[in-house]
Amino acid sequence: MMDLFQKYRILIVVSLAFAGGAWYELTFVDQSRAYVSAMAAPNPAASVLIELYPQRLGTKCLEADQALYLRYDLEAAKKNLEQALANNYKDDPSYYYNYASVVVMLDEPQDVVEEAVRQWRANGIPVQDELDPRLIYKDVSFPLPPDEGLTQLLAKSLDGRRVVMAPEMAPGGDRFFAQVHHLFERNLAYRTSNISATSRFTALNLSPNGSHLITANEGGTIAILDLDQQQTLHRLSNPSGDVHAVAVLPTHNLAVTGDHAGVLRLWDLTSGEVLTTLQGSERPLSSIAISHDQSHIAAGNWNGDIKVWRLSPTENKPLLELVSLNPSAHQGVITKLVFNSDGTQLASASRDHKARMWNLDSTPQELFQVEHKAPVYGLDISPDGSHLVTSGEDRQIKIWATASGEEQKQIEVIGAFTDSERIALPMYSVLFSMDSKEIIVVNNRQEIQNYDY
Amino acid sequence: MKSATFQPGYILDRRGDTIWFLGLPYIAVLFAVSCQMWLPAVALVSISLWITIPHHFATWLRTYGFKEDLSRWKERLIIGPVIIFTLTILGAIYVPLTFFMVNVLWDHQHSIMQQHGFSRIYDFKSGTGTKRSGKFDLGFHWIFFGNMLITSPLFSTIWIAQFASMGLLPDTSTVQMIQSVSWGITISYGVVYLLQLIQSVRQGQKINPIKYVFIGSSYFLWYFCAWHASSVLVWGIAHRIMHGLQYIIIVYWYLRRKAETDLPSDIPAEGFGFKLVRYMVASKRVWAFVAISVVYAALFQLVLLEPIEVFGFGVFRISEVDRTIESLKSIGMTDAMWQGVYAEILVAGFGMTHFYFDSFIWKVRDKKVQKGL
Repeated sequence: MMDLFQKYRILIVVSLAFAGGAWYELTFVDQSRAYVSAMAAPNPAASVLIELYPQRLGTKCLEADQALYLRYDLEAAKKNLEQALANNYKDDPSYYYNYASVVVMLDEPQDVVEEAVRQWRANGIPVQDELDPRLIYKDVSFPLPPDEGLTQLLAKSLDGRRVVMAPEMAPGGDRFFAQVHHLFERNLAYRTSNISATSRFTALNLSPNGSHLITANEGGTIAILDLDQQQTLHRLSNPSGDVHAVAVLPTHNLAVTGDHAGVLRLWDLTSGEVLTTLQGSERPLSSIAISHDQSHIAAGNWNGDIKVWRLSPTENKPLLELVSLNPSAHQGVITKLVFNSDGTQLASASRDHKARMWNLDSTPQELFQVEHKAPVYGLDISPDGSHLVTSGEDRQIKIWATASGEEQKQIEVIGAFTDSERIALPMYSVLFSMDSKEIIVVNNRQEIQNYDY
Repeated sequence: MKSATFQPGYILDRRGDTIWFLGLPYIAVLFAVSCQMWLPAVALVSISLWITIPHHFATWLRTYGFKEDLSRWKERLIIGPVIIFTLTILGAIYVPLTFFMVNVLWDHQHSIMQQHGFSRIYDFKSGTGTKRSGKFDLGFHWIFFGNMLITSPLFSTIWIAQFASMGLLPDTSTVQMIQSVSWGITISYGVVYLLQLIQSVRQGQKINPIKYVFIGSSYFLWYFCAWHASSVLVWGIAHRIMHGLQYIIIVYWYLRRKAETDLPSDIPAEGFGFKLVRYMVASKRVWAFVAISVVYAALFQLVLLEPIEVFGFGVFRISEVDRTIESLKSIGMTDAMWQGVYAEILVAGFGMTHFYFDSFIWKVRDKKVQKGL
């Protein structure tokens, strides 16, 4: 027996390695490798690698990788990639891909784009499922039918009357649509209304009572609609670029926006004028939440910082008083903030794969944190305050008890791409129903699905 | 350089070793860096096709080419490929990440063991070294190679990103701590290694200086590329040139010496295959050895059904291009994707079979193996 083991020990070790790896992969690693991501995945370790090796050429590529993913400073990204590719930086062929993506996004001349794509095809031996950047970033066509884009934006009114959603990574075209679902509308014909725009949606939100909708689109345009009156109140232009976070507070006659320049603005709903401008952050603001009683505003930025202001409407202009500051709540972009119903707690989700629950004091105290295997985008607290739901790119929806921070349940949302292929979807948004008994998600066919938990 | 301490010994001869074992790593680095400057990524593919695949072929000649060796290892030479190809097929289809990781890690282990094997041959040829020094050499290779993987910017980028994609991104200070520990272990082991060497010399044992020059050349290649190249392909090109060519050279000389010592008259019942191998490796027929190796590589390329630019040889998932293109139409495994997986299985399956065979056919302590060295 020992002789036999001695003779075949290498084969035994390799077989065990295969078995162990297979167990791990089948148990913990996402198996749906047929899934095609809609964007080139950024290097998830970019921030650490940039810190470790600031002088290396690869660091430039990582910066470009981040810039492309977050869509900022594309000119610098292009320059970095050009420098890298001039040095034949080809250990990660996605740099050819990223370069092609950058020139597509910068609207470079057609021949430049074609050459970049040709270079990608010739030199980039893809290590991951990547689509032709022209398909992703321009209006050539899109691999999925238009009604199957990934929904990233989803909001509900606190009275449960309405839900609004829009695919942030929508396929190209002349028009882009957000859908408002009027859940209490009895006539099926009026249960859904489309809000159209000429560029992609970057943020949207409903007022707590569901009467108003605010949307933001690429280019910094903002629209405020009175849904009850079925009229557009304002089409505004944000002075400092793209808006990533919005909220509307009709009882205070205010709209709030947070933009790429880190500026927090309060707009007058009646006149459409800016009432207050505040440099809320040095980095872009990525999420805004309003407490249910509309007395507090929380904002999170790309650095993972969170600030909370007390809002005091006055006759002339509202006052914002900073009451709480958490400069390193997360190590990545804050993707979503949600207050609990009495405004004493705040939940935050981030691209650092974590969501955290905070007790709101002058110095916020972390109550607990929960983890995913990928960036967390979806976040909500149940109206009865008993549960927290999180979802993200790891295609898991997780429900947690707010009292203990313990996981209660995991749900996968299955999307049907073809008749034969059914795979879990990354979930960018998730909400609780008003009775706190179900969660609401949107599948890849833009259909609202409810799940018991 | 004969002295009381040094006992030089060569694998081939002074000139041959200077070119193939001591000088080749420097030439390989020069070539790889030139590739980085001037050639596209397909350079690695060319190296893989014209050097790596023939070096696998050399293993088949080495194992199946002589009747005596074939009968000695018959069981393992049959069972090994069956198990490895079974694992490869299942892995490529169902657990691609595991398949990829096992292949890459075994490749690294195999690389370490080849240089260790050459070190042992140097000791054997010069009559130096002991069982104890062999173990110290093995420890040296594992620790120094491992340190390169952990601390070099090139490989750190890969493993940190891999951890991050698994949701286990360490922070910068943790990585720096791990790297410091690795350096600490490596330097400590280096000191211990030197001390045992000095102790051996004091005890009257001789050492082969050529072995240490050889080890130094190999680690120059690995460390230089891991720190100074911006691309893992540069490391790959340099390594594959060194690894592949040195292997082909040793196999050629091994077979030639075997052919010359085991006269055909001693083995009367040899078939056509065995005779062909004897013909290929006979003196002054290097051209036949090279020509048939090239034909094998070309046939391998044809059988793969994959264009050369997607022929990544385990460094990259070679079927990804097709998966990407096809996924535009519908998401799922199409014929083209299956073709990619098929190519992947062939490349990795033959590669891992080569790793496996090498794990038992080159035991320097084996008297029969010594005959060919």
